[in-house]
Amino acid sequence: MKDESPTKLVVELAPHVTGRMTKNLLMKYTFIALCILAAVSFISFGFDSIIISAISVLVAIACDYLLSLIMGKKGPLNTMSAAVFGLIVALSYTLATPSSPFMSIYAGMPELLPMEAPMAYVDVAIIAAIGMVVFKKLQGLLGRKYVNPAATAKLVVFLPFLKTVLEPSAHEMVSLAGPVLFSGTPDLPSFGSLVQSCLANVGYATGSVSPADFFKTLILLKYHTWIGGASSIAVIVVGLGLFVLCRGYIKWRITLAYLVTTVVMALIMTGIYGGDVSLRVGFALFIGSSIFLAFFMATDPATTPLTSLGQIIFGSGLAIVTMIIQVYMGFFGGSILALVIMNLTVPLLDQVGVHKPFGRR
Amino acid sequence: MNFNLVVKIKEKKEIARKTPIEVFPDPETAVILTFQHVGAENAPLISVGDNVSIGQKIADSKEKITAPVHSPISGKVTRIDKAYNPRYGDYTRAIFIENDRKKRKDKTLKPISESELKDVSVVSLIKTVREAGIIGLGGACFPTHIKLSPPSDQPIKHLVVNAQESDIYSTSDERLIIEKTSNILKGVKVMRKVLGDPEVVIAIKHNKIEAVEKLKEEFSGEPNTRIVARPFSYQHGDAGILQKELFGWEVPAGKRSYEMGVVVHNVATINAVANAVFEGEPLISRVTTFRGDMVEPKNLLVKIGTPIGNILDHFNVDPDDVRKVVLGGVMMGNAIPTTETPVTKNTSGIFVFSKSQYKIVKRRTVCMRCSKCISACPVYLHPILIFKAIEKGDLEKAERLYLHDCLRCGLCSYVCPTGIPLAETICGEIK
Repeated sequence: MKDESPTKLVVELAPHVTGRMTKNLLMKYTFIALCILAAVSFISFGFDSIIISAISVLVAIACDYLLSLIMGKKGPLNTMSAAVFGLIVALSYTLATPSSPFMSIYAGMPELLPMEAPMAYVDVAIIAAIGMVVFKKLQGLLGRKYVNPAATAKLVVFLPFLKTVLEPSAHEMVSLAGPVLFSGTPDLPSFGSLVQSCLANVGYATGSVSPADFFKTLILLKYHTWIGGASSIAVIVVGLGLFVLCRGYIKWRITLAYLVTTVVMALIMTGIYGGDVSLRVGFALFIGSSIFLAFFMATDPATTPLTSLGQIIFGSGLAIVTMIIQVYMGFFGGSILALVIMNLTVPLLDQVGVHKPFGRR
Repeated sequence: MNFNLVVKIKEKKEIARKTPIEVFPDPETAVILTFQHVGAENAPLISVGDNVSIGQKIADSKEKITAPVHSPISGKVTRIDKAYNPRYGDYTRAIFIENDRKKRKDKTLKPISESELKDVSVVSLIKTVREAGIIGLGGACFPTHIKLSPPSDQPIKHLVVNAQESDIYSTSDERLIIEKTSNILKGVKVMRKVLGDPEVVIAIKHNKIEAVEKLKEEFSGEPNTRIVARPFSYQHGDAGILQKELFGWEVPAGKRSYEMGVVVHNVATINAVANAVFEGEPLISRVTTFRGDMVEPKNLLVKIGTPIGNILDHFNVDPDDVRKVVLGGVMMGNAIPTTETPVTKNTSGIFVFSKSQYKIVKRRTVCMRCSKCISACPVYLHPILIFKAIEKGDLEKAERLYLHDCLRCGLCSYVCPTGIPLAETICGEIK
């Protein structure tokens, strides 16, 4: 036709432009948000929490790197995702859960032990490594993740401990959420009995602290929780900030449904067992294992439903199961068990929420 | 229960919307595709060697749903061959005309004056629109005379003028409104007469400030007319979504707009109708936005049939630097394999991606299940589920997920953070 050869042009299907949001950017935002929470936890836990976070992130990244060498194309390097995973492991770690040697747990350790820093470092490293290898990379080979890697890894590591929880004879309070200090510390008076009145299925009288003091510890600083939930206010502010920054890429419906249902459940529990309403509601909402999980673990995209309705059912179900585990099993911090249980229902929930398109409703 | 947050796409129109329409010189050789519309394909009415004049009908069909094409220049038919048709993504028949610069005009279409409008019969107006080869210029390419002749038992209550121009870079319609406001008013009057005096609703995005002012001024004397200037978003470019926003109803699947008593027309279409009725000029030119990172944004009045290469040459675009050319809009338009492709009736924009601008932003990875595509879909489909069904070859499942309700708006691919070609795959399957 023409003398000169026609210009080589790329032919692609529409759309020819794309939004700015990428998976990596989402991970970056999440990582920054989690870093802020790690920094906040410094106020409560001092350098321990920072060291734990660093160990966890480094172990996760190292595992990711090693696995990418072994697995090649099947497990590509994803440093940002590994870093986020590491931080979630650290922040959902319970400073002061039974971090004593494993053997002693089998030997029938008491369920409440103050945390000892050196063992905590080892525990976190183990959780991060198992989570990264088994529940992130190997599970990823299935083509899809079914359970939350961080939550499942923690449960597996504490499995011996869980055994006591699930035994019908174990009526004492078990904690994966932190030390319930019956004796009290110098700067924080004992609120063990108070916690029990919030949790257990008995209408306890309040302890030696006033509800105001108690709320202060719940909202601002905590000595009885996950590292990430050291300050509930910080979790809420950072979590909402992340939601806004990510503009609908995070499944906020789950968080909303979880929080609303938790309040409803707490009200029902108060109706049944009595006790102080505001305390029970406040406790159920703001305890670290609840608030951190609601904002940063329950919204993990891979293990949650796709549809809006599915997400709402997921969030509500999570709140109900958590409350049942805490109240009837005395399993304080059982929200991760609830999360794993709910994760397994996701293939079903995906079917539930499929809606009709425009003009067919 | 629907909490879907509407996806907002940031427009980039600041300079382009202030650039007046420029008349692009006639081409030396015009390439007229005979099949530019939805419906039956046209057959040529002329043969090689014939002389044609400006506006002469050169291809037509006897079928009902069709639109003839016309010669944009006067000259000689050199050959009837194939040329790339961006709408159909294939090489289809085209008539090549060499310009003789004599500017002979064809006078088949008889123009009428504005005062004569009330005496002209509806049938003859519709015939004029058909003979002028007018199709939906917003991109739908549906012959306008069909839309103007709904069944006689179906009264039309609303004539919606779609002045959204929702694509990210296009400004041709906006400039058209600003510069040809009175012409658009005339076109609306014609349509009103044809459709039995419905209410006129002009839907326009609120940030087209100058255009909104012009419309308000020009339409102030027109009875039963509403100018709706709202912060519409990209999705509202679709007639169905726009109706939901304006009137609150969802057009039931399988029904056409006219069954709801609504006819939606693009402003460019209305302008073309006015040109045909009052100037006797068939659809041989259109306003198009020409943009790229190596050129100043332009709004061009260009003859249909002008090869894209001519436009690139005219604005000194280095052909070696061009990586991709998209006709239409960047969200729904078609990339072309060669710059010999001509401007067609629905070329509302020409977008040139240079080598430096063209880069793969997102590398495809596995779905992270963020469900953003589901909340972004304006017609509430499940793009990722449909995509997975298609990938598995399970077309039955894709059908059950209402594959064919897709608007092809491209939002699912736009929002996907893992670069999965959702819209590409789904649209490919619909074809």
